[in-house]
Amino acid sequence: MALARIVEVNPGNSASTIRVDTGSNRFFQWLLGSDRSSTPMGEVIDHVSHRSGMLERVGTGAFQTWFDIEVDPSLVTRDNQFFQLLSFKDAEGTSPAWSSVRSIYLPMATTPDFGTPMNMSRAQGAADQRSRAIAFSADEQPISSAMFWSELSGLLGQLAPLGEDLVSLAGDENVQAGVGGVLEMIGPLLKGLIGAAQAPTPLAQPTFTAPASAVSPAPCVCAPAVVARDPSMAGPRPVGHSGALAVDGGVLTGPMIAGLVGAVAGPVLKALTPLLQKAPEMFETYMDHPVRLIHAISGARRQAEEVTNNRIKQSLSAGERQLLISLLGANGGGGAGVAPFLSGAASVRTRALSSSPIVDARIDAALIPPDDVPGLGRRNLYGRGGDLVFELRLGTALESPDRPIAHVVAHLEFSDADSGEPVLERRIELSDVWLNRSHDLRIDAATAALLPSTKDLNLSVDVLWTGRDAAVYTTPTRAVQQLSVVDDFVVSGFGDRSGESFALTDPTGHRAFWQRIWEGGAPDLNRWELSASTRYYYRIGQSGVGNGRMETKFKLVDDQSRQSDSKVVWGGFLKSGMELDPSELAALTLSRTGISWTPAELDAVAACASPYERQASTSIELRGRTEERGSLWVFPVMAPIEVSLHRVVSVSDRGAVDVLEPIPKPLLLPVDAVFVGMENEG
Amino acid sequence: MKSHTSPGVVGRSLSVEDELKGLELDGYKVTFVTKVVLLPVELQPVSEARNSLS
Repeated sequence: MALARIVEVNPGNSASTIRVDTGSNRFFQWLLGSDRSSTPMGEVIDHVSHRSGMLERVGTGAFQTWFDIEVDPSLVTRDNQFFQLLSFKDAEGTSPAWSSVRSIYLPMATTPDFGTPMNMSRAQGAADQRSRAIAFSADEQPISSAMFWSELSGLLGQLAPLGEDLVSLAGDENVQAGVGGVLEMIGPLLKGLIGAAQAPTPLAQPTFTAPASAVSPAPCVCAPAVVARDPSMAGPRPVGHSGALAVDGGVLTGPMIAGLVGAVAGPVLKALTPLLQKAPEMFETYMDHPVRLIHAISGARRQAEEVTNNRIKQSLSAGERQLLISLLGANGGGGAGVAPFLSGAASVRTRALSSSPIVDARIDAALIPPDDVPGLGRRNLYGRGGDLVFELRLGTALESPDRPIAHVVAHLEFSDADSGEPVLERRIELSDVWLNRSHDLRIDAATAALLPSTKDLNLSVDVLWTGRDAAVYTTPTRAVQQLSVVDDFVVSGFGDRSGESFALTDPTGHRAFWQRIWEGGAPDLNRWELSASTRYYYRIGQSGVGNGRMETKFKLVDDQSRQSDSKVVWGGFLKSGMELDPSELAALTLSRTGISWTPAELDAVAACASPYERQASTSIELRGRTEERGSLWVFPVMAPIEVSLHRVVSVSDRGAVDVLEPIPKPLLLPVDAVFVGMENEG
Repeated sequence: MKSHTSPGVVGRSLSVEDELKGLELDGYKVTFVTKVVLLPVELQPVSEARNSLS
C-alpha cells in the first residue's frame, strides 16, 4: 500500500532525523515551508522554502518500508519549520501520497554536553572533576529470543538468493562433495526459514551506503545488506541510475552481482555453521546474556560481510570459487556473467584451486572446555601467568583410520565476545594427530599475557591438514569456545540489598552522581510545556575514569507536540543515563560503611559477566512562561548490594581456574532514581 | 538552600522531598521530586541498537 507517513521526528543540533514510511511507493520528495493550510485533500505546505528533488528509497525491503531522512538543521528555522513528505510509485510521480504537515523546529536551548552548571563546577572538589560526558552508548535490549531469530533469519536471508539452489542441489554428487556437510547441518533449518528470510533480498539490485539526505534505516537485525559497495556511490542515489557497480576495477551489473551475492553464501555458511553446530551450548552459555548471543551472531555476519565488501575476489577461497562455478554451471546462466569477471583472477584461481583446502565433511573439529568451576557454571575461566592449554578433538563417525594424520595446522583466533573484534591470532602445528582423540593446543604464558583480563573472549580454531592425495583439507566448521582470562578476582553477580538505602540528595557533595538531563525554555512565546515519558539508565562502567553522564536523547511525538503563536508543547520521549565508575562507588561505600575495595576487586566488578544494569521510567511534566526556564535533574538512591566476589585460589596445569573462594561483600549501588524538576525566572 | 530540618517530628526519617525542600541550583528552584524504583534491564551497545526511543 502506498504511504506517506511521518513516523517520528528527532530534532538535533547537527541534523534533524525524520523517520518516514512510504509503503509500496519507492520514490519520494520532502518539502520545507513557512506555513501550512488545509485543503479538501488534506494539509499542504505553503511557501515552500526547500524541495529535495525526486529520490528513491534504497536499502529497504518489501516488508521494511520505513527509513530515515536527515535534514540539514540550517534549513530549519522558525520561519521554515514545516515538513511534509510526498511519495510516488515511480519517478514520474505516479500514485502520489502525502503526509500530514509537521513542525520539526525545536526552539529550545538544549545543552549538548549536559554538564553541570558553572556555579556547581566551581563548588566542587577534585574528585568531581573525574566526571565526564559520554555518548548515549547503550540501548535497551528488546525481546531477546525474537531478536535472536530475527538475526538468524537475517543471516539466512543472505543465503536466500542461493539457498534454494543449494538445497535443491544437495542431491547432486559433485556439489555434495563440496557442501554436503554444511547442508547436512543447516539444510532443514534453511528450508524451514528460507521463506521468512526471503524479504529483503538484494539479488541483482545493489544497495548503497547511507546517502547524505536519505539515510538507510539504522542497523536492522533483520535486514542486512550483503552486496558489494562502491564508496563513490555514497551520495543520494539519483533516479535513473544504471545500477552498475564498480568493484576492484571491474564493472558488475545485475546478473553478475547476483552471482557474486550467491558466491558470498560460501563464507556466510562458514560463519554460520559453527553457530548452529554450537547452538545448544551457546544457548546454555548465553542463556542469561542474549545480547552477547546476538553479538556472537553479528560477529559471524560481519565476517561474511567483510569478505563481501572488502576483498571479494581475494577472499573467496578456491573451494568457494569452485562451489560458485559448480553452482553457476548447474544453475544454467543465472550468474553466467560472473565467469568472465572471475576469469580476471584466473591465474590466482588456478593456483589456489590446486593447493587450497578442500572441505572434509567427514571430520569435525571441536574444543573440549575445562570442567565447570563450582558456583560459576560454564565460564571457562583461565588464570593469568601460565601457559593456556586448549583441548582440540578431531572427530569422525567413520571407522577410525589405522594411522594418524601426519601434520595438522591449527589457526587460533581469539576475539572479543562483545564486539567480535579479533584480539590475538596464533598458528600451532601438530604432528601425528589421531582422530577421535584429544590433542593439546598450547599458548605459552608470554602470548597468553597479550589476552585482555576479565573480558569474555571467543576462541575459534581453523584446522588444516594434508591428505594422502597431497591435497589440503579442512573441517566444514570451526571449533569454538568461550573463555575469560582472569587475574585474582571474579565477580559472578549481584545479590540482595543488605542494608538501608539513602538518597544522594546533596548536589555538591554527591555531584558526581547528579545529572541534568534537560534544560530549556521558549523566550519568544508566552508559554512552554514539556511532557515526556522519561527513561534513565544506570550501568557499571570502567573503573578509575569517573562517572560518565550519557547524553540525553529526546524524541518529539507528533500527537503530543504542538505549537501556536503563543505556546509550544514538547511531547515525546526522553532518555539518558549514567555509567558508574566502580571506584566512585567504592569511595562512597568506604565513607558510608567503612568497607574497602581494592582496584583489582573493582576491575572484577566492572568485568562481571552479569552486569548491574538498571532502568527507571516515569512521566515528566514541566511548564513555564516566557521569562522562565526549566531543568530536569536525576540522582540515585543508593543501598548496599551484596556482590558475589570470588578469589582465584588455584589454577590447573592447563591454565584453567579450578578452585575459587567466595568472598562476598557489599558495594553501594543505585536502587532508585530521583527526578527533580526545577524552574527559574530567566 | 536545602534544609534537613523537620520541626516537630521526632524519629521520622526525612523523605527525599523533605531533604530537597528549598534547594536552589544555579538560580533554579525545585518544583517537583519523583522517586522511581530502578528495575533490572539488559542493555546493548548503541551501535547494535536502533538508537531509537520507540
